[in-house]
Amino acid sequence: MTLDHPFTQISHTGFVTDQGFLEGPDAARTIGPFVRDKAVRNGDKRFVEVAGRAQSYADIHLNSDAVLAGLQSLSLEPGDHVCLMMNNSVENIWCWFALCKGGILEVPINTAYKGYLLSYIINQSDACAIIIDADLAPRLEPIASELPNLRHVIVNGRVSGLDLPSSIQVHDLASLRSHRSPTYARTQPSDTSVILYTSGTTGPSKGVILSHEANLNLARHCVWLMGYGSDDVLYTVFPLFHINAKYTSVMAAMEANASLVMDQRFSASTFWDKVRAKGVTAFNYQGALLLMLYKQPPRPDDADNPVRIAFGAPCPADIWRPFEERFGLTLVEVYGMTEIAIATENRPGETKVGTAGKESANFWVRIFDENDRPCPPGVAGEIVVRPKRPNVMFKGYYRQEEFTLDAFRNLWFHTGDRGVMDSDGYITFIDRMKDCIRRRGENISSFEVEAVVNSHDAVLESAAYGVASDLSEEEVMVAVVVKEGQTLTPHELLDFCQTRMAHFAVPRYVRFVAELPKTPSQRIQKYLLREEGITPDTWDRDAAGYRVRRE
Amino acid sequence: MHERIGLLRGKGYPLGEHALRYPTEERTLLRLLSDQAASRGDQDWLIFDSTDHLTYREAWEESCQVAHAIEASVGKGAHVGIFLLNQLEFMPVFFGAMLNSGIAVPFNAAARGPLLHYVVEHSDAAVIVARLDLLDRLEALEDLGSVRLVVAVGPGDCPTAIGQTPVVPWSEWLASVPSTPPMTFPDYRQPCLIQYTSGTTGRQKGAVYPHQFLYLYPAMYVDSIGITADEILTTPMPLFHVAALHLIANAALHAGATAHLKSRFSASRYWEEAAQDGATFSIILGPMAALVMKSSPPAPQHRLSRIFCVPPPPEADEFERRYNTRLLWHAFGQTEISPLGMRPDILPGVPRDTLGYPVSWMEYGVVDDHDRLLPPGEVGEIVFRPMRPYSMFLEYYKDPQATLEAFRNFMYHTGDLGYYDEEGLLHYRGRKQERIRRRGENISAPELEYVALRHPKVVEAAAYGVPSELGEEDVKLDVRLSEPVPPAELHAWLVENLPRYMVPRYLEIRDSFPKTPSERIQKYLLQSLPLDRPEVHDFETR
Repeated sequence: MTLDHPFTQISHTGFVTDQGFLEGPDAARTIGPFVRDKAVRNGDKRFVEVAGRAQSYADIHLNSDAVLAGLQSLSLEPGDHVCLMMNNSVENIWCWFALCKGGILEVPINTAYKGYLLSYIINQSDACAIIIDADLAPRLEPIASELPNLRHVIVNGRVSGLDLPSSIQVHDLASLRSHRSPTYARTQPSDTSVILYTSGTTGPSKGVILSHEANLNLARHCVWLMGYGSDDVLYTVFPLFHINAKYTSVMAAMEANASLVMDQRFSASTFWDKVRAKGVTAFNYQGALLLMLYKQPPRPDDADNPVRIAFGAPCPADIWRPFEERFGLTLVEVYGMTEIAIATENRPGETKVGTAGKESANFWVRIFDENDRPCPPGVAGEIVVRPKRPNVMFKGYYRQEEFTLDAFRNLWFHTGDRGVMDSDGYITFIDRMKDCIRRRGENISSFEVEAVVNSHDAVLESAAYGVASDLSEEEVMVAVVVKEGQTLTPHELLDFCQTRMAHFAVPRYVRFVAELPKTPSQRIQKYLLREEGITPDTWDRDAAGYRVRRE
Repeated sequence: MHERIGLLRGKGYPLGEHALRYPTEERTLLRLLSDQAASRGDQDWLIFDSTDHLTYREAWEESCQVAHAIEASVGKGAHVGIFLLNQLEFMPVFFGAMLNSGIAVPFNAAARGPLLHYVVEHSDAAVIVARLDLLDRLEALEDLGSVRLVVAVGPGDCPTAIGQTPVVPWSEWLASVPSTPPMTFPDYRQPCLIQYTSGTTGRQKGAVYPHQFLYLYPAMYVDSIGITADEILTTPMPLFHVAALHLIANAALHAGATAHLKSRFSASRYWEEAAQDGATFSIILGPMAALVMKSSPPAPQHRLSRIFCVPPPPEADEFERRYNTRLLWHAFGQTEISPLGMRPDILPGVPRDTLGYPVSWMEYGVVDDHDRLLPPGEVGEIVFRPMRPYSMFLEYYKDPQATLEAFRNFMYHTGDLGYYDEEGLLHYRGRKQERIRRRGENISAPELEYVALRHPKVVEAAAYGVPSELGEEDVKLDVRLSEPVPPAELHAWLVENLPRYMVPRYLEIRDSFPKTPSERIQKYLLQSLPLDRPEVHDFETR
């Protein structure tokens, strides 16, 4: 494939300074020129293989141009907001970069969402269009009447008679693509590229506003930390609707002029075969993934694989070194979140097992007490973060200014995570202070689980909370008070939940109680429930053989 | 481009003796006033126009009384508007509102009409304590927002109501109200004051103070310049502005000193009054100093050894010689933040734009339009970031958008231009909004106005940017003249006296200017007027 656009600037990978890394003077500071420059530099080199389909650097660039031209034929303009609800695919990457080039704000949506949460995000984000995989598109039908601002549904895959109101036009992504030249937006580095929804706290999901430069900074930071080069082959199984795959896999591979292999699912049994077959040199992890790999029966050739390094969090301390030794690689453990990218890092060679490392080049990280004063080493408090440079963190929560200001008080970002710092500056994550459950890399808002459970006719009230999981992080547990005179079985409750919430949020444990523990001001004391944990009267869906469908 | 990573760390004063007098949790001025009343109750704290005396004990007892009166009238936590000049009742109302767990809201005594209505309504004031002779301004408003009671201060006939809102005289309001002190003081992190900034950019913004910031602001000045209990402070500036409030009244409170406040500024009597009062420290503005030099006779014997005066007048040396005093001008403060304190001396050999070194617990820097931190010597917007919590304003009241804009990238943006030198010393280059951007050149509006005012017939001048068809801006100058001058002649004079890039394209001669209550020209209103009016002379089209 040849390039038919004239380009002038080539971006350069950053260089290292005493304090960390800085971009080269000619480095692209917005994503459109970045993708373009990389296509010029790497041309036909393979960039990515997603679920078996390969694309070169030039392919990605030209196909995203074609998608942008198509979107512009629908009169979508710079500043418009467009949702992206897609599984990992090359089309997903085209659409993402098309939006960036056109100055259109991307709103990725978790492909597990449905019902209330889906309509909430489409509306709260002020989106006028959604690009959605064909098999997910029917989820729009039951909520379509609640989407007053949605004008376009662009379907990736075969469109089959969607039942949507006439105010919504349905398009086919493949036939929308156009070979006319698109118009690139004149985007500034601090302009918003994406609103990424995260259920990190109480209340409904929050839209984290990130800029082009913040995205590029995270990619460059990751490349510098991991030492990625053009010979590396990265691998990820994480979804493109989270920060991790987007910026520390796709854009990091691009920044390093490397290649990337992506799958839609993780399989512990075939993982190493895949890695060997594709020549993977690095992959991204979270705790459950490492544990599941570690629990596989040992094989004599475990260490005989091309992987040299892996990026992620949180690795359970007790398997950290054993895992590295068994598989012959280095784990690079960091601490971050959608709002702050990589705030702390264990630089290779300076690792302290069990910690999330020290503050990274672009951030101040501290542990504060409830009055925003520093805790001495060894004393736990809230992890707070400040940027040393502009546009390396999020700008705020979309249309949640009061909430944003509270999180920004005293000009520190309050993460809501509890942690502790040792006298060398290494930080250990302890738990979430906010009312949120962390399960296999997903943040689940207790509020949203309770909202669904409480909407059941037989339920008086409920409390959702996290309990320890044997796969690291947490499992969802719910304590339910049934209305007087009503009956409810755990099966009935889970059947009800399944159709109304993301599969990963459906509780594993259900406990029926006569009443919930409360403070004098009638606030539920979840910490008491959490302390009691999985009681003898708790129903466990895994033990009961109940299956939650993934759709 | 040389981008810096990380802000600079202040090299100036650490917190001093007065700031550290109490542990953090107890840093409120209420606690301080109560202690000063106990230890120096009979001493004068404030003296108004040399005649009305308020001792520390009276101030404390009356504040407690006001707190009870507010609670009885409208309940705990009320917002209280203060529509007073420099007078005895001002500070008791100010602290009384806080002792009732509420918030004090000083109004500009010159405010009227829509600007007054805006703060009355926006501040959610439930009570307004107003001078009787200012009540007509309140009567002229469409409505009084959520105000449920007006308390009238001063002699004369008091109306019973303004619209539906009852009015009571001050003495009646406080009659039979106890002065028992409160059982506890408010939390040092709680809001206590909404201080509105004047609306040169349009909408007025209410900076919300936590108690500790209100406590630290004056303490930093007392500690940095060393004000002692035997000093006498004075100013003609009003208490509803931060300079008189923090640097005179509450600085005296910290030091245990006595402060004189004047209800008006008299250039000709300035030195006579200062000598009579035995003043040792004063605050005036640069233009006031210039007027004093024009109209004041030689100073009588006096003790006024230090005068804080910004910006320093061009004739500062002459002023110091003639009056045998010293001018101090190394300082920087805003309603929102107090990042430097004040130096008690003038650094040798530094230019007049020198502000000084930020305090040791402050981070600072200078940023470009993309918020990138600039290296030494480059002019951009000055930003600050305190290392201590609750030591600057919390937010703009009910304006989260403006707050987030000011806090972007986790730095407080001052709106002031400046640079720092190799030593880290900060220098001031005017308000950001006063910068006109023309074909790649930055033009300082005050600089252009300064030159225009040297024309013998120009009395007032306002320079500002207007949209240019070439992108960026063109320069427009509006002037008021003492007697008619043909526009072409005036323009020719400007061409001769200004660098080429600063010469205004548009010239307009006006009879008057729209102004804020604090007498600043509202350029944003001028900017909103169309250019295709006959009064606007365009010197680039022909």
